[in-house]
Amino acid sequence: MSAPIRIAAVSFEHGHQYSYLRAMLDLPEIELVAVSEPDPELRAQAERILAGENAGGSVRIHASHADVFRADDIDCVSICAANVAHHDLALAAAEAGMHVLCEKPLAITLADATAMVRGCAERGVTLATAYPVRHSPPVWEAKRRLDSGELGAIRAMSLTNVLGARPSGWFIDPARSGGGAIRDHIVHATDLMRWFSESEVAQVYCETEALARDIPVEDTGALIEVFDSGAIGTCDPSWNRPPNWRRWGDVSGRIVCDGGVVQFDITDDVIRVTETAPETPYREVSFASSMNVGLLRDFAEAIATGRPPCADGHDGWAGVACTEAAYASARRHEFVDVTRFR
Amino acid sequence: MIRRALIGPGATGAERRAAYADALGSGQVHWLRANACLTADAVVDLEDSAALPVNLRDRLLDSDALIVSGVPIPAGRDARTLTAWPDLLGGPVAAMAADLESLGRRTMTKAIVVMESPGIGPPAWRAVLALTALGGSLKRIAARRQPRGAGFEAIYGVGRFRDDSIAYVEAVAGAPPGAELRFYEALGRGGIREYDSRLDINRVTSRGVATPLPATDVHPYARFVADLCRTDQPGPPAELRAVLADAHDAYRALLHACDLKTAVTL
Repeated sequence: MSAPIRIAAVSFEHGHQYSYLRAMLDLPEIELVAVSEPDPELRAQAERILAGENAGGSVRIHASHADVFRADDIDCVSICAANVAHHDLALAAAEAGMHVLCEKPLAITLADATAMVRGCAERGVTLATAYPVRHSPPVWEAKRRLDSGELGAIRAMSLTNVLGARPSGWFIDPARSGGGAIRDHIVHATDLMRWFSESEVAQVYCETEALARDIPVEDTGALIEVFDSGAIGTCDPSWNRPPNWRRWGDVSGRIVCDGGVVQFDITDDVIRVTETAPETPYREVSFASSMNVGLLRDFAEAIATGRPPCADGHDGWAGVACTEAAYASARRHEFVDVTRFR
Repeated sequence: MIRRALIGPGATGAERRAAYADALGSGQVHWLRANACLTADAVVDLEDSAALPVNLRDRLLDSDALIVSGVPIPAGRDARTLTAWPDLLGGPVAAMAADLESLGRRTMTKAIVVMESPGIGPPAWRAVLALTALGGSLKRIAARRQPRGAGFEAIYGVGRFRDDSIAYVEAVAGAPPGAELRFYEALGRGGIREYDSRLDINRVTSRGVATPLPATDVHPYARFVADLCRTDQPGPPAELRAVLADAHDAYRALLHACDLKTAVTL
């Protein structure tokens, strides 16, 4: 095996970075060199995880992201900042010659996303978009079966990526998030539908509003997406399930093909646990493999071999383009054409 | 008063015939034939009028018989028609519709019906009926229809109810065996009511065919037929008229929206 790629975890504003951190520590292909986080509480939480994994002494802890970009022993970064900061951090990493794994959504404007894709390409670094759902075992196998041709052409795809009505902090600050459930969630469902169908979204219709809570970003929505292939996709990206719903959320789908139907729910491989103690709520314990490990392994292999990552910057860009069309549709109550990358 | 029943073709024919036999006696129930006697004392029960030969459908619509259909029959004929509403009398939609008040301010309602039936009408009507029973009157709807030529038909709709909550409706016909589905969600700030037929384990599987075990001692369709046959003014009860009127409006709007760029405003 070649030497592990050396990575830094940049920003923990998005909690997914903590999950990625654990995956980095699990993978022999990856050497976690540093973490950076200006916020003391978020940084302390990362330090606790590192200490718990017996990695506390070997990983540098920075309060400034700039310290990471100045380092000469880092090959790549995982960026999990607030959405608005993705653009500046990704381009700073690219400028430093570091490959980038960027949390979704890639950016909060199409102009930012375009600059990120072009900036990384010009500097010869990989830009990967963190779409870990592609690496969920049922989703991966669904893709394999769809690609095999045994099910025939994809005609329709109905996906959900819902969440309890919980997001807070920068997630519900439009200046930092760029929007709510539509911005945050349709990228996952849209990415899977693009990936499954190997087709781009041509048009979008969207209804959305803050209905579940009085917050300044939308939390409930539904979309129809029409693909170049003729397939029709739909998506429920809402953050509107009760906070005590049976699950934290889901990513589920039904793919209807000429010769069969594929359905999946990445949260469905669980055992159910109920304890006698009245204060102990019912809970579900997953026995599924971590999709984050798959995401990080793919990123490491892409850098090591020079192949594109499973989801690259263009895949992230397409999600942003679809999001922009969705917001336009919600204002105009009509199907809106999705911008193409040029 | 209904004295005879003529049962049209379709996968639910046996179920519908049994319901009329219970209400009228088996001697008064027959399969619909091209030369049937269509007098005012007869009810013709159709799963989907679109499945009939055109000349027979025209003869029915020109007759004095009462036509009960699982799918709205296009307006424009002076016929006695009713679109059946068994889902409002029993089963998950009825149970959910009876328990919506505690949801508080509504956020979203979803209705998905996937059937093996050859025509899109039955799943589309059932989905729209559930949608309006659980969410109320629609304000607008946009939709797309699966391109013709596929092995199945499907309609997908997204819109708003009058209370501004969001509507999602999906109907699929001609689905592969085993892929049938009924899925309903009613969401509000106070909670969620949900039903997913995939979670029903009450069934018999024999020779590769799964048959559901009943949830109620009287099938909702038998209840619908019993109500229909005991009155000389067949029609929906007062408490369901508004929901059915909303559903008819929504059904027409959904089908119309499939070919438009903009949402249809109701």
